[in-house]
Amino acid sequence: MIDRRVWIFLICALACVALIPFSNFDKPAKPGEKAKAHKSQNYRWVPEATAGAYLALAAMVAADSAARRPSSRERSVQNRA
Amino acid sequence: METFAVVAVIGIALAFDFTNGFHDAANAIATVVATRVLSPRVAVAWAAMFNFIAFVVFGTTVAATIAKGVVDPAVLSVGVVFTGLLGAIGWTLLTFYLGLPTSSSHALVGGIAGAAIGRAGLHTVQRSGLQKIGVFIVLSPMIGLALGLLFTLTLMWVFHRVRHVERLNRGFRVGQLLSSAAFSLGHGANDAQKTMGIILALLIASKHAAPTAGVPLWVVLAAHTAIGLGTLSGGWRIVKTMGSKITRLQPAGGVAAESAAAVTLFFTSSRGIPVSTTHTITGAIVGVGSTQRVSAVRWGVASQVVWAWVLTIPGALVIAYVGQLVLRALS
Repeated sequence: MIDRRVWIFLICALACVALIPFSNFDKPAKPGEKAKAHKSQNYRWVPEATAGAYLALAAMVAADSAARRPSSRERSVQNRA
Repeated sequence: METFAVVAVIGIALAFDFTNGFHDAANAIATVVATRVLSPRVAVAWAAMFNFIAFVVFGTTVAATIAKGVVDPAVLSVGVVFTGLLGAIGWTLLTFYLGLPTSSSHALVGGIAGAAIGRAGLHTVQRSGLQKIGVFIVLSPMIGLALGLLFTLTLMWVFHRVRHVERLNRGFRVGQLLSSAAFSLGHGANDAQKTMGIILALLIASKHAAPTAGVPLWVVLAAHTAIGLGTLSGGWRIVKTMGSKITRLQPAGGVAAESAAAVTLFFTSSRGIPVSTTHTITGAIVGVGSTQRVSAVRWGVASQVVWAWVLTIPGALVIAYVGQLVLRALS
C-alpha cells in the first residue's frame, strides 16, 4: 500500500510539468502597440524546479513508507505469534 | 467633473485595499496569536507595520503589471477602471454572500480585463500578461506547499536530537515573530501594489500621468497606509486561525509555513507577478501539515483554493463586462 501523499505529490509534479509550455512570457506592450513577438521573460525554470521538488518529495515519501513497512519475514513472525 | 470621478474611483480603490488588509491580516498573525507569542492587538500592529514598510524593500513592479500588463493601456479610461473595480468588488461580495471561495487579487485582474473587453473588444487584453498571472495563480500555492514541506523537514532534521523541547519551542516562538514579519512584508508588497496599479492606470487614463510613468510616491504611501490601516482596524476581530482551520500547527510549523509563503511572495513581488497571498499561505500550511500524514490536512480547504482558481477571474470579468456595457449604454 503506497502512502497517498506519493500520489498527491505526483499529481502536483504533473500539474507543474503541464505549466512549463506556458511559462515564457512576452514583455508587456507599450501603449497602443501590439505585444512584442519575441519571448523575453523566461520563467520555465520555475515550474521545472517545482516539478523536480515534487518528484523528489514523492520519492522520499515512497522510500520512507517502504522503510516503515514490516518485511515479509517480520509479517510471518507476527502472524505466527 | 472628471477630476471628481478620478478622486471617487481612487477612494474606491483605497477602500478595496483597506478591506484587503482587514481580512488578510489573519493570514499573517493567526499562528502567532494561536501560539500566544503575541496578543491579538500587538500582533495586528506588528503585521500592519511590516505591511506599511514593504514599499521600501520592494519596487513597484507588481503595480506596473496591473496598470500596463493586463490590458492595452491605450484603452484605459476612468469608466474602464471604475467598472473593473466594480467587477472585482461585486464578485467578492457575491462570493461572500454565497459562501464561495475567492481571491480579491484575481478578481481585480478579471475585473480590469472584463471592463477593457466591454469597452473595445477582446484584442485589448494583453495575452502575455494574463498568461503570466494565470500560470502563477496555480504555481504560487504549489511553490508554497513544496517549500512549507521542505522547510519543515529541514527543521525536523536539524533539531531532531534536541532534548530540551521547552527551550526549542521558545526559540521557535521568537522565530515566529520574524517569519510573520516576513510574511506581512510580502503581503504588503504584493497586495498593496495591486491597488497602486489600479490608481496608476486611472491616472494614465485621465492624463494625470504619462503612459510611461512610474507609480507616484503619494500613491505608494496611500496604498500602503490603506492596507496597513485595514490590518490595524479589523484584523484582530476576524483572526480565523488559518493554522487550526487547515491543520493544527505547532510553533515550528508556523515558522516553516510563514517562511515558505514569505519566500514565494518575495520572489513574485520582485518579479512583478501579482499572486494571491491567501492561496500562498494556504499552500504552505498544507505543506507543513502533509509532513505528518494525509489525514492531518483538511483537503476540503485546499480544494476551495482550486475552485477559486477556476471561478474568480471569469466571474469578475463577466460582472465588469456587463457593467461596462451598461455604462456605455447610459453615456
